[in-house]
Amino acid sequence: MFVLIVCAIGALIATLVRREANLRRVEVLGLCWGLGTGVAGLMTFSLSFFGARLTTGNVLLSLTGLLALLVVLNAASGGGLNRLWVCLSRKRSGRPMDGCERLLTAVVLFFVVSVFVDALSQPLLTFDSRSNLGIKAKILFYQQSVFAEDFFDADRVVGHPRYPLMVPLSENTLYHFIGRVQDRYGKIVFPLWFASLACLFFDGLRRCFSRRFALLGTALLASLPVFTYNVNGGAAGGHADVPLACFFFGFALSLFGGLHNESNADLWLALLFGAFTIFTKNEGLALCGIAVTVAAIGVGWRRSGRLLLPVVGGVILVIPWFEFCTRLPHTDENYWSALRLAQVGEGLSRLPSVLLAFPVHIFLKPFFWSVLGWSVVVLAAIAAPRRLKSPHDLFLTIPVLYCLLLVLIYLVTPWDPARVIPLSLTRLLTQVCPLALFWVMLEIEALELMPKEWTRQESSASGRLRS
Amino acid sequence: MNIAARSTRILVALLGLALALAGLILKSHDVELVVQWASSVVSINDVNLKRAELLPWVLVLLGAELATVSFFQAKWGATLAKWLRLSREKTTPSQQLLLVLLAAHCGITLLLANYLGVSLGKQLQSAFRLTDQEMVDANFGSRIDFVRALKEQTSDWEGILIVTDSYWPYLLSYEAYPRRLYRSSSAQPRPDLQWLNNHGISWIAEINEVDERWFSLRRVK
Repeated sequence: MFVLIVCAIGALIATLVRREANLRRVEVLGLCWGLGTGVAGLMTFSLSFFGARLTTGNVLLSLTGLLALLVVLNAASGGGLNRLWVCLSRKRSGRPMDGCERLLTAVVLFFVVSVFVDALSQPLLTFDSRSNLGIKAKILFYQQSVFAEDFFDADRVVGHPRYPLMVPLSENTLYHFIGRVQDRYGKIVFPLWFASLACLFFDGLRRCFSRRFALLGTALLASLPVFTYNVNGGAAGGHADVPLACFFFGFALSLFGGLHNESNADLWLALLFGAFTIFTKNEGLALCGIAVTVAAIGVGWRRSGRLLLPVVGGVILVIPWFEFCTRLPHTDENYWSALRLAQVGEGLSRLPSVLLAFPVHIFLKPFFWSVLGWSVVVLAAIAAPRRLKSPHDLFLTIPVLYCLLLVLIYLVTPWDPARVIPLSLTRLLTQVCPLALFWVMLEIEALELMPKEWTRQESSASGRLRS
Repeated sequence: MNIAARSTRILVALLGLALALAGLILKSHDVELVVQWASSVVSINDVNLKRAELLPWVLVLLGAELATVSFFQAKWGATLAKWLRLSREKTTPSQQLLLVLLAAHCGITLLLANYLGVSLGKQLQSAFRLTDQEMVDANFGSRIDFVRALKEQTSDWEGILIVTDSYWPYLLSYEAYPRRLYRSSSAQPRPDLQWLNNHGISWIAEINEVDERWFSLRRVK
């Protein structure tokens, strides 16, 4: 029931935002869970922030109220509901899938289903999923407020008190539907975010390329060991990194799509996904900052005025969170204030070991990254003569800049980098690996490394991203 | 079928059988043998130990897959040979590099999919056999006696100070909620009475750093 209501909210928002475009089924599937959880999370937080108690009645009432409002808005906006119904119920047009496409679809489904089985076959067990996120969901469920004393006592054993509350609020909302804290069922939100990411990835590629090529890219993403196999993280573990990857991928794709095609619908989606990214993990703010800067440089300062909508709108949506944050206790992990020249200078002695950790991790740990790191390097080397000409290089620039930021963070972290890097680097890179893989797929097509009949889009599909 | 193809088929089948046999032998032995070998490659911790326990089944599965491939090689062999010939003749070096990367990814994915399959099989077995609480208890390992004592002797909303150098009280905090847990390192000066009163601490627990099965849990006077 929870999943249905949240997906309905997301699908109706997607229909409302994309008023002028034909919706594709995969697009709706990708957007519905991401938008639904994001809006539900921000809404329940705002309700509590402005004084309402998060009782079961209030949570259910607010969600059904939002659903009813969206139904009315869609009905009033000229056949929104009808378009959604047509999109979801129409039979697939075009040629049937060939053997290769069926195989790739089977690969995607195998890994997505395995993540669902993995998540639902055991309760929350990993350290961060319990101590950072699960405990906050429990506090929210029992205390029914974001102003519970447990969040403000700096001495309490609650991990990362200043982490945003998107994931705990989603778990908490689900607990209200179940009627008690049952973390095995609460974990269903994580594979759904992974499935949502896979759909968004497929849709992103499908905007420009053939179904076979889009399926190949999605199969590569879904089979990345870091999502399916990573014990300290992964899509089933109950950590915030896969939701963040999902939201941030949606943000980056919509942002660049909106800027290149001058599509306001994409910019509205970027606004929403940007706010969700910031509200999911502290790293989200840095990622959005990097993406907006890269986008502004990429499209030129003259056209960058269009960034105002997603940036200003996104910030407005998370103002209550920023305000709430000022009241939360500070810990020794305050990286924003630690990133000062003097402190970075003090950490320079760590630089060789930190710099070495990245290539070792990316290239020599195939049980996390398979050959993703090698693919990026090989394609960058092949494409070197025509560098700075591809607009899609923005998709690689973001992960590279994020890695540089992580290097700085590891220089100033209060923890011993030798201990913290093996525990955290995989998960931090998970947040941007969909973008790196997206760049790999775009580069494969740009360099004509696959036959044109493999990558070329069928004439019936529309190319919105390519400009 | 020519001799080369036939001998490849026999070799693949033999390799498959050897792997499956190795898996079965390892399975009948204690996991110690795998751990001894693994300890020379990776550090031994709980996670790696659990992975090592699954190795025999992964080998059996991989062996069975190779045997199946050799069985169907007569059917697929010609197509595969044609693809290989085409990929050599009709592709540029860059495209060949991409094919190598794709093949490497497929190989890694196949190995990990086997591991994933075995791991999920075991996990599902546990899911049907154990309750959620039993799984959580097993996850606490040697610390479970302390967790049980804490839950039995203290009541909801009471404040408990745990003196330990490790960070696992963060894991316990979720389990013990709504008890309010505080942590103090043994290197830090012991909190004074005023601090205990201000935080409403009713219990102090001390855990032996060498052997975590030993602990004390006493009420604050």
